[in-house]
Amino acid sequence: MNNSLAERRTQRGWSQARLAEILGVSRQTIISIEKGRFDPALPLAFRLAHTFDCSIEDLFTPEDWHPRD
Amino acid sequence: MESGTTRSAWGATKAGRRGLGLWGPAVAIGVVAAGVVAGLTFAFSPSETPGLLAVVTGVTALPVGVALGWAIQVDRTSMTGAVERPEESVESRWLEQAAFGALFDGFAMIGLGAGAIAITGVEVAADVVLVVLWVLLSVDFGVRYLVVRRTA
Repeated sequence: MNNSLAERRTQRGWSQARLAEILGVSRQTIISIEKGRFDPALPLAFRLAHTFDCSIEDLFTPEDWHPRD
Repeated sequence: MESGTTRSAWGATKAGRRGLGLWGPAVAIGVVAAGVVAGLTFAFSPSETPGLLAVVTGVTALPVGVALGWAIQVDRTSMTGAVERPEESVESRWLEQAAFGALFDGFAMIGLGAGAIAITGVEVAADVVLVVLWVLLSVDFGVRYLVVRRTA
């Protein structure tokens, strides 16, 4: 999955540790998500979207995503 | 965890007991567990010196029993570094991947080992087989976890 997590996080001036603390997960989890090496489970994905006031689709995009028009 | 609650390396019980309040019961549980192990050893050991063997196994089991007593009581949210949702963290995924791989490696080990023993007719003591299998599976799991973690 591609994601805009790092960009949105830095826009808010949060460190990875700070975001991890907000979400209740480990800092390594945030690192792995931002690198695209870990896809979060739905509950975490929803909390991420809620934290950044956006939808899950705004945060995460499949690598071969071709939206239907 | 309530805000303002201090965290520590060893944590506290759900009732907030630390130090002796945490370790006292843990040691008591450890002593009971060690006593049970020593008693079973004394009762069932074919050794000519069951008393000595019981003491050795009891002493060996004591730290494990104390650790168990600590683990039973501690409130993990009171420990430094503990996250609220470990099940959603990437480390849980690594654990699952390593355990899954080790499980199938275990199937292969047991199958190949049983075949080799059947073909060769070698007689191997059951305790030796179990210990070797335990060590191999433990190493397998540990290596797999490190590899998954390194590539994350």
